[in-house]
Amino acid sequence: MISRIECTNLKRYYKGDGTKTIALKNVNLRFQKGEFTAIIGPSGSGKSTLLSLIGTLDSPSEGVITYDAEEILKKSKGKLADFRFQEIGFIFQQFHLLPTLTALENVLTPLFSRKVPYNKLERAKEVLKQVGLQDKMNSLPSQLSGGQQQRVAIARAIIHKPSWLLADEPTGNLDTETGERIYELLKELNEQEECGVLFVTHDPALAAKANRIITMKDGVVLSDKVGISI
Amino acid sequence: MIRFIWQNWWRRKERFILLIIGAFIVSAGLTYLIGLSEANKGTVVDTLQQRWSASYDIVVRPEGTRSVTEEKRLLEPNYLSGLSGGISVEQYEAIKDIPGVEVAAPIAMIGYADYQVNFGQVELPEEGLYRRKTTKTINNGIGEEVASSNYYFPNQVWDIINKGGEYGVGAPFTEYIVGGESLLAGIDPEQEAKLVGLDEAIMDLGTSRYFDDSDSYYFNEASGLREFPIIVNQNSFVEKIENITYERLHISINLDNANDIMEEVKEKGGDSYLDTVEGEVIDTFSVTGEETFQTFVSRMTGVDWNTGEVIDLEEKESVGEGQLRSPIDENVTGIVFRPSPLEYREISSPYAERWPYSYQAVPVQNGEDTIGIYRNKESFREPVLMAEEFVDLPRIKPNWIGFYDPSNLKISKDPTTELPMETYRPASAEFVMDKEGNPINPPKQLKPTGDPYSFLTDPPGMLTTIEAAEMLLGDEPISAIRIKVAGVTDMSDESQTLLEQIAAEIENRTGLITDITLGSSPQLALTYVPGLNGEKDLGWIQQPWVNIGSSISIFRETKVSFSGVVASVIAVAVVYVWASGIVSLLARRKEFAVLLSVGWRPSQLSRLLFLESSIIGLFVALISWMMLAFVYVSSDGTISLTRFVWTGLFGLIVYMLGSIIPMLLTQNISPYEAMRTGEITGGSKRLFKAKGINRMAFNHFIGKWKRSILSVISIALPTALLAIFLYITFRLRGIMYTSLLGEYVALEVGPAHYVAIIVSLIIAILTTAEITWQNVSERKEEISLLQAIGWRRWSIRRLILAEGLFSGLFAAVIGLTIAFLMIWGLYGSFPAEEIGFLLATGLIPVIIGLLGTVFPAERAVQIVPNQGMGGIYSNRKVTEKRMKLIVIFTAIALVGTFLFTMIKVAPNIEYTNPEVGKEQEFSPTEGEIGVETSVDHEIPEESEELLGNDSSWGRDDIVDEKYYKVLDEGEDIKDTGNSILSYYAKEIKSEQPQPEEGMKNISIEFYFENLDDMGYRMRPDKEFLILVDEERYYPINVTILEVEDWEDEKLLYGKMRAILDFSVPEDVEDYGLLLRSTGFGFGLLVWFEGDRTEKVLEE
Repeated sequence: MISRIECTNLKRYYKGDGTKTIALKNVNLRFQKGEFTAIIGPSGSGKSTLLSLIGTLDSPSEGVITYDAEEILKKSKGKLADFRFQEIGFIFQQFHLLPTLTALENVLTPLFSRKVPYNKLERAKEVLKQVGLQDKMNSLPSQLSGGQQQRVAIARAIIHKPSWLLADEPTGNLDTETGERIYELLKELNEQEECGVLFVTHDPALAAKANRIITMKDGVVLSDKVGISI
Repeated sequence: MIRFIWQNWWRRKERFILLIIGAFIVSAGLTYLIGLSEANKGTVVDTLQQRWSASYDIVVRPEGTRSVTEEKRLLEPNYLSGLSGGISVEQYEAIKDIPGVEVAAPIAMIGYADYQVNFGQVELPEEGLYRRKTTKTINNGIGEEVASSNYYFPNQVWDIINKGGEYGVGAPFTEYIVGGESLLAGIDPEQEAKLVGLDEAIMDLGTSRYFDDSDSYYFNEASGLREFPIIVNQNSFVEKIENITYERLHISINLDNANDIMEEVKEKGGDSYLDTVEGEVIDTFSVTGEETFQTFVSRMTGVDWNTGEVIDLEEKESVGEGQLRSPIDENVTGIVFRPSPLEYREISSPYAERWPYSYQAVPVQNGEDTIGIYRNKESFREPVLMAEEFVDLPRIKPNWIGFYDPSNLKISKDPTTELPMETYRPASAEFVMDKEGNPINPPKQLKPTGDPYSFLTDPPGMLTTIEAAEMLLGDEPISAIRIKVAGVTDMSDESQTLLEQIAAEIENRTGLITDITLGSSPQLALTYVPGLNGEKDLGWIQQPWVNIGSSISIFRETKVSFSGVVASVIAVAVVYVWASGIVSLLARRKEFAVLLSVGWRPSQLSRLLFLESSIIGLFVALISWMMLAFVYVSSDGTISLTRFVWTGLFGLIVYMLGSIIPMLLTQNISPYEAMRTGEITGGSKRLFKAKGINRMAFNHFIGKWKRSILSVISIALPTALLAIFLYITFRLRGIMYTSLLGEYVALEVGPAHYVAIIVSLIIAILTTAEITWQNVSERKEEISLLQAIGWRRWSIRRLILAEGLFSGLFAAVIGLTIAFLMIWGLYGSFPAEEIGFLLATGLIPVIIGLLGTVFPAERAVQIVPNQGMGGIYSNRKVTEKRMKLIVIFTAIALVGTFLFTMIKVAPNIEYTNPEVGKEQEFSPTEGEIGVETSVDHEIPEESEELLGNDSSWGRDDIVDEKYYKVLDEGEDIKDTGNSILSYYAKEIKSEQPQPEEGMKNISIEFYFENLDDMGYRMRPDKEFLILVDEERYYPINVTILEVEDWEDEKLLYGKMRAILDFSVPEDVEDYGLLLRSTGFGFGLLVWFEGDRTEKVLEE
């Protein structure tokens, strides 16, 4: 259980063809478990980069991220993978479901060749039920609507009860109504499972509902304020 | 994980089908090339090494014996028979002393022993003029050569004393005397035995034996005869019938008018007049050449031809008094003629394609001073006499010691595969064309005529020792020495080098000439045989000549091309597997990134890929095995277990190796890629500005250079291969096609090569298709965009096809470059002549490239601007069900065939398992060792009735009288009053693994001790069985705990303690253990009661 994530002097730049693209500069942030944080900002402001750094998908060019004072990113790729499996659930804008697997199988993918103390299949069914898809278990992603696909993705993210849920514009590809519902689902998970939720969005209306709102622009945090919690 | 892999394949049916096709082609190709062609190659190589193998590696001959034909490295068949002396015994001894010379077998063609056999005398009843007409009919294979001669003599009517030949008559000649010639050759018995196994060819007849040390040459001063030991060839190759007829001429002649009549005869022309006079046949006699030779040998040696027994001469004389002369007289025989070679002149071949070598036999015109029958006549070989003067001709008395049968020699026995280098058989010669060039169908086989100077020579009929040859011929008796070199076992460059060293050494030490004959092959040559003495020309004779050393070059080229082809196909297969692995990785890169971000370890991805590859590899292996098994079952062939296993394993290994690169590539996948959208490649290289479709395609081709290289390589390899192979084939044909071996090799090797190339080309098409497919998939957006901005379908098709074209063009350039370099490396010359067709092969890769892109191009054309990505994948119930059914059905069929063929093939597999050997080495006298003897007995199918009501069968059903003895469990037969045996058996706890459903294990320990000295048949896996009603169960396993005096693991004289493991149906409770062995009649039964056994076991 990671209860605190701290980013210190985070920098991330990409080199290519003689140019240096700075995605993130000097970000200092602290996240507490149980928070419901929205990260908002225009395209290219570094929101997704920040999220992938926190989620250990990428490593910072400079700066340190500590997870309960531990520098996980210094560990091997295998260990990092274990960390992600244990602690972090990812939700992508593109859903990124495996097209050849059914909803149930997609939910099960993180558990492949992992030893877990619970019954994998039961747990998968349980989380699918939690996201309200108990009747779509055997459908392929192509047979599901966008909202349903995103809910499968959420189910996949929470199957191993992570302490953190990182969502990269989870509602970006959905219509407002469906987006609302996905948001509600995330909120619910935040409350019931007490996991920290970080979600990136373009939508100020959605972001406004969060406990904490971080606004970014050009790789810098503009503001960090408490939202209007419902 | 497996389920995950399966779903991944299953729901991408198009790709899956492509994958399966690839797997099928790879497995079929590998099976063919490794499993079958390798075997095939083995045969070719073996054939090269064995089919036309001569018994010797080097031949040593005296200076000046090389014929003109040898300028072309050609030896006439049976060239040895035409050589006469020239090598001294000292030289021979020197050669024998050269290190590395394993066998040095000299042969001395001594000469033609002249023999005559008297078959008795004609009774001439009346006085008168008689004609003795001798007719020799020789079947030379083409027709009968008939030669007759007449001899006239007066009988009791006119005194011929002091009368000249002008009267046409001579002294009365009333004996049936028939003559013949047999080639006598000297050999070194010890060396000849080593070289061709002459000692083994000695026939088991009476006192017939091989030479030994006591046999030696002896000059009998008293009689002037040269005595020496001989062994006689039992085979006769000449078909000759000699007929002698006595006729009384119709000329009235009596004592009164004899002088007048004879003067009249003289005036009319002597014998030419008498030839015209009719006569009355008085007596006639016919004998075959073979009978003559046999009788000669019998008389000369005093040994019966057929039985080898010594003939009782006295008995013989009493039977045929006056009929037979003393056999001793007949033994007196001489050697008149020495062998001499044929003279050839090279002439242009009438059919140079079929027979590149063509010769004419040049007859010898003999002059006035030539002996007897050849005087003023033509002959094929120059008559050479043993001595100038008749009195100096050696008179010989050969002492028979044995018969030999040349067909039992260790030389090639099949006339079609014989290399005509040995001297034990007449050379084969086929009459193929008459003198006008009309073909003879079918060709006729020419036979030797027995004439020492005819076209075909007879092989030696008698063999003696070199010692005798030296005594008969003088200082240089040996005509040739055949050398076998130690350590030369195969045709290889090493062998060649070794032989060259030895040959050089021989030449240095002796000054004789040497030729390396290893790797010679038959070469059909055509010879024009003219008619002799005014007769019509015979025509064209085809003979297998010896092409010296030709096999080595063919062998080398075959080996190079073959290993090259196989290696390249394997390389192409590996490239394909890599390409498809990489393509599959590229296609799923994003998926993998997602998996990483949800917490998969990179190692898990590697495992996934490895597993995938292994599964396909296994599939390939299975298919290979199945195909191999099927082929071997249907062709009843045998296959070595190692090769069988390797063929399948090879596919597996190729696929497993193929997963390495994608596995390494997964390490570079960053989970961050899951976050990126839109962009696919970081950057790509541009060489030209994209001004048109072709340049656009070219830029794309260059941009994706890594994968483009894969497809180029996979096309270039088979192209290079094809070009090289075509070149080699043409070369082989050019040089060797007319040689039997070249023809054979071309025939044997050709198809395998072409199949290999076709297989690799198909694989290349697949590789290109895979890669282009992936390119198209990745550029879906681009293509739909192009369509959206109004490109025509054909333009899009062209865009994709152009990529294939570039692959093909690059492959053509690279492939041909490789081919030219290889050819240059192999032959050291630039293939200027063949450049045309070599360049033409460059078209093939272009076609392949285009073919590979046809399907992807069609797919690209079908992309519509707003097509949804998910559409391809389906899990519709009906489709699923259908596909499933098909797959299940196919799987069952495949596995069924596999098992069936395996069962059929299993007996054909040569077991190379060394453990089998070990088991047999087990010494029965060493006791108390546990020896596992695994026994494979099929468990009989349990019958329905038995399962239901076995309780109806029990101890009461056992009829005691039927068995030798019925014992209870644990009861020793010794205690029942039997004094010759101690035997008991008891059930013990089974250590066997869990049996299959419905069966249970029973283990019984028995002790069997023989108290008598009679042996008992004891093979525990066969002699013991469990009896349940009508059903019998044999042990599935035998563990011997203790054994003594167990002869050959069959007969037990001592004692044995062993555990028998059985597998019986679960519900069997009571049963009998039956031991059926020597003297037990129906057997010795031990009764096991279910309840009691259980108790014992519980304790």
